[in-house]
Amino acid sequence: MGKRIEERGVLDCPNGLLGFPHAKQFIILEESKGAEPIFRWLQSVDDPDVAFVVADPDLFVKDYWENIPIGDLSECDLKENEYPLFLVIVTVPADDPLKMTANLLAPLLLSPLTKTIRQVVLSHSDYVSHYPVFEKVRSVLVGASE
Amino acid sequence: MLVLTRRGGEGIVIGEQIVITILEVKGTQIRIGIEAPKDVSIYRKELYLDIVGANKKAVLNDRQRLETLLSGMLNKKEEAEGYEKVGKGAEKDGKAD
Repeated sequence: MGKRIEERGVLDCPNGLLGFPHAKQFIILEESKGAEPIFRWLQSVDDPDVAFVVADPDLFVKDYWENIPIGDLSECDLKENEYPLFLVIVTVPADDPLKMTANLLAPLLLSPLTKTIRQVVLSHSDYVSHYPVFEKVRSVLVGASE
Repeated sequence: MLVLTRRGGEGIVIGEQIVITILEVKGTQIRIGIEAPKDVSIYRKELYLDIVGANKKAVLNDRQRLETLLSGMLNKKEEAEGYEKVGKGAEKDGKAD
């Protein structure tokens, strides 16, 4: 993924995110100065107070997208030869950051073709909405700084 | 809340484009068919509430804060592991020299 995500500019989010229906446009910002940052910011253009920490789900689980039941993506209207990017929202509790989790159940699907982003609920998958990711994040962080 | 009583095979129309049909009533379970335009998202309620809750919990609006959290997190973890590593680490380092 690398730099390419940041270069996509403003992304339309026609349906908003669940619970944030008014957030219809986002930009993606890089978090750290590292060559391959773990986290990025999904910042709402409409509302400066709405921003999420997002990450590539493949950092956390193997073959994330290969394990998504096909039916769960049918509403996304993907074109043939369209390869969406997946991002998952990461929750970092302020009182205990070690309990950080990723929402694998409702990933964000970014279509490079149409420059849109949408949150998809994978209702037929076994993924969970609060998957602990601290150990993975730590090993990536430590590995990168060595 | 509008409350309607329906039997199996009967339906409800919402607006011009959404049709809900009661397909089958079997004990405590009811099978429902929903016809709606593609851009209308349909979720099981418990799943919807789960995701809305997760999204609301995930909103952080301070970039600086995350950087602090991340570096604090690394240090905290290293401190915790430091204790158990001291003994083993010293031994290993000694051999390497």
